[in-house]
This record gives sequence, C-alpha cells and structure tokens, in this order.
Amino acid sequence: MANSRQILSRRRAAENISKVTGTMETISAVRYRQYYQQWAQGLAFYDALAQLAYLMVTAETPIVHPLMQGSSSKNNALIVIGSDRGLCGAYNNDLFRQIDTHVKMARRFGRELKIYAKGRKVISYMDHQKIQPAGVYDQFAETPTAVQANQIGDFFMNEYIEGRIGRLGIVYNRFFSPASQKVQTLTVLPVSDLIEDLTTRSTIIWPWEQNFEDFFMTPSGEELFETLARMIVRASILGCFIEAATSEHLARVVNMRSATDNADEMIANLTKEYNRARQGQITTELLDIVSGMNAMK
Amino acid sequence: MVSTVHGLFRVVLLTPKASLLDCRAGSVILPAHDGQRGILRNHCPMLAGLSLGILQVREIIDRPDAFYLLEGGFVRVTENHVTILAYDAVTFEGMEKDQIKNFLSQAQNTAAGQDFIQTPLGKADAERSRLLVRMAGLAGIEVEPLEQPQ
Repeated sequence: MANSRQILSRRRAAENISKVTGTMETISAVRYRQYYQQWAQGLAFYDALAQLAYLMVTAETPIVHPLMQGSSSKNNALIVIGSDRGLCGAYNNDLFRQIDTHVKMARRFGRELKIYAKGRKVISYMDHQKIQPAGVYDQFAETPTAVQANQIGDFFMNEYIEGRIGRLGIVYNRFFSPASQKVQTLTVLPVSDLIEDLTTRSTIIWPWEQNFEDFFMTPSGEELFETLARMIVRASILGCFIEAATSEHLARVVNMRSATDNADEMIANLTKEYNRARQGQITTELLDIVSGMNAMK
Repeated sequence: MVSTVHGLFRVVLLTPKASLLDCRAGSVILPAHDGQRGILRNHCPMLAGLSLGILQVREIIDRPDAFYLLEGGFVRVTENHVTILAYDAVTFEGMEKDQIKNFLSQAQNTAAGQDFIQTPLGKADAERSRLLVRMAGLAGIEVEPLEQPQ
C-alpha cells in the first residue's frame, strides 16, 4: 500500500485537475449559451430564407443563373471548420475522418481539392498529413462578423462563376439540437444543392397561397434571384460557423463535466485510501507502544 | 395596391444572428434598392431587394417607433406580413446613454470628414455614419454639435 504522503500528493493533483476542468466547463457553458441563443434566434431567418428560395425555385418560368448551374471545373473547394483548442472529445477527430474521405474521393475522381482551414487543430492535422491548405481563416476567433462572412461567400461565388472551382462544401459539426450534433459536409455551391438542404430543414416551407408570379418584384426576378442566391450562400457560411462554435462548446461542456466527475470520484477514492492508510499507521504505532509497555513489565 | 383604410399588420425583422423585431405596426418605410418605399396594411404581395439605409417601423402597438440601420437584404410582403431579412442591423435600442453619445460622436466625426475619404470602403463608412446621425434624429435622440477646432 502506498504511504499516506504519496496518496495526499495524488489527491492534490486530482483536485487541481477537477478545478481546471470545472473552470473550463463553466467558461464553455457560458459561451455555449451565447451561441445557442444566436443559433435559436437565427432559425427564423433561415426558415424565411428557405421560403423565399422555395418560391423562386418553383417559378413557372425557371430562373437561369450561373450559381444554380453545375460547373465543369475539376477543382473542388472545401472549408473545414475545426477548433483552436482540444479537450472537446471526438469533436475534431470526426472532422479529420471527413477530410480523409474527401481527399480519397478527389483522388479517385481525378479532382483537385482546395482545403480552406479554420482552427489550429485542423491546420496541425493537415500539416501532419502533408496537405497544404489553400487558405486559413485566422482573422476571427470563432465566428466571423457579417462583413467577414460576406467576404468569404463573395470570394467563393466569384471563383465558382469564373470556373476556378466546380463545387464548394463546408465540413463542420452541425448542431441539430442540444441532444444531437453530427459532422457533415454541406454543399454550398452550386446553390441548388444548398436550397434543397435549406428547404429540407425548414419547419414550414410555404404557408401562403400566392406563388412567384403573384408578386410585384423590384428589381426584376433574375436580379432578385442573384441577390437571394448571394444572401443564401453568405448566410449559410455564417450559419455553419455559428453551428460549429455551438457544437464545439457543447462538446467541451459534456467532456469537461465528465472529466470533473471522474476527478471528483478519484478524489473520493483517494480520500478513503488515505484514511485507511492513516488508520493502519495509527494501529501500527499503537501496537508498537503496547508491545513496548509489555516488554517493560 | 395600398388601401386607404388604416390598419395594422405584422412586421418581422430577422438577421442570421437574431430575431430583432416581431410586432404589429401601422406603417413601415423600407430602404429599397431604388429608394425609400412605404408599406401600409393591404399592400400587394411584393419581393424587393434592400440596400444600405434606415428602416422605420411606425405606430407599433405598446411601444415607441423603431429605427434600424440595415446593410442590405430582402423584404417579402405577403398577406399583411412584412418579413425583412437583413445581413446585419444597427439600432440604438438597449444601448446606454453614454454608449449612444460615444457612438454618435464617432459617427459625426467620420461623416464630417467624408470629403477627404477617397477609398470605396471609407466612403461606405462615411455614408453609414451619416445615416446613423440621421437615424438618431428620427429616433428623437439629441445629437450634440461637433466641437470646432481652435
């Protein structure tokens, strides 16, 4: 049995771990609540956006726009949103598996894959795999501002229209609900795939009686569709960053809570072990005293 | 078609990060891509692109008029529901007095120096600042005159 001093030092270490993980849990819980609120309040926006997209896609005369049509380019672009810090369980590992799948698929179909990385963990994984990122988003901490998200969206839409990329996907941890988050690749370009995703997740697709032709439009339908398509892409990119940050903090809260619980359990066990060792030490000392007294008689 | 009968309709202002307004109002003035556009009850179904400008929501039930600086977006008018989708919206609501004062003084300084700004980004900033000062005037917030350099 270890001596009591060793047990005490192990207990102190477990107490420190419990304090650190408890603090991390608290910090992440606060950030999670902030991001969750943004996510929950943004749902109505994406619903309304999906309704507009549905309205335009179901027009009697289909709207032709370069962002809706497929591209012949052999290059694919991928934005991977990971975390800067670890201690969030399998959050990043699931992303890495998706990166591997995309790299393998691109090789198999003879396509070039340009990866734009967000998060130090993703960058270090790509370094390890000897994949050179085409771009790194380090100008913002977790989520971009509306202006930054617009710039990212505009860059990829221009690349797509000019034929430099044929597809754009975002690999991120999608936040379905506090009980369900899953890594997935959201296809952003061509916009038709994104509209399908938006309308699928929307709660109400179109509750009104009017159809596209009933609306007075300013500017024209084609120009409006251009505005809408740009808004869908820009807002979806911002939404992905918000969902990824929400999932990351939730993953960290869950993992840090379980780490704190484990540390607390270890502290309780070590306390019991320490008390037992102390008891044993006292008994031995008492026996020594009693046997000494007996010898003196 | 705008009815001459005055009445209320639902107005919703949404951004990707927040649902900023959901109320019943008497009139709305929108910063449409081609100028300001007024909406009353029974407006015809309409889809319009928005540009940088001030959104004015008037005659709201149980609260004062609301003003927002929008950075472009979209509006849909259907069956007395006005849904405004914007990338971002700035409002003075919920701000402390000192915060508004600092904010406006910065905006005034930027707007005052707009003649010397040459870059498109700078010009957009100056335009935004000019609109912020105008929005403060509409919202009834006192704007202190700029201090003249000695």
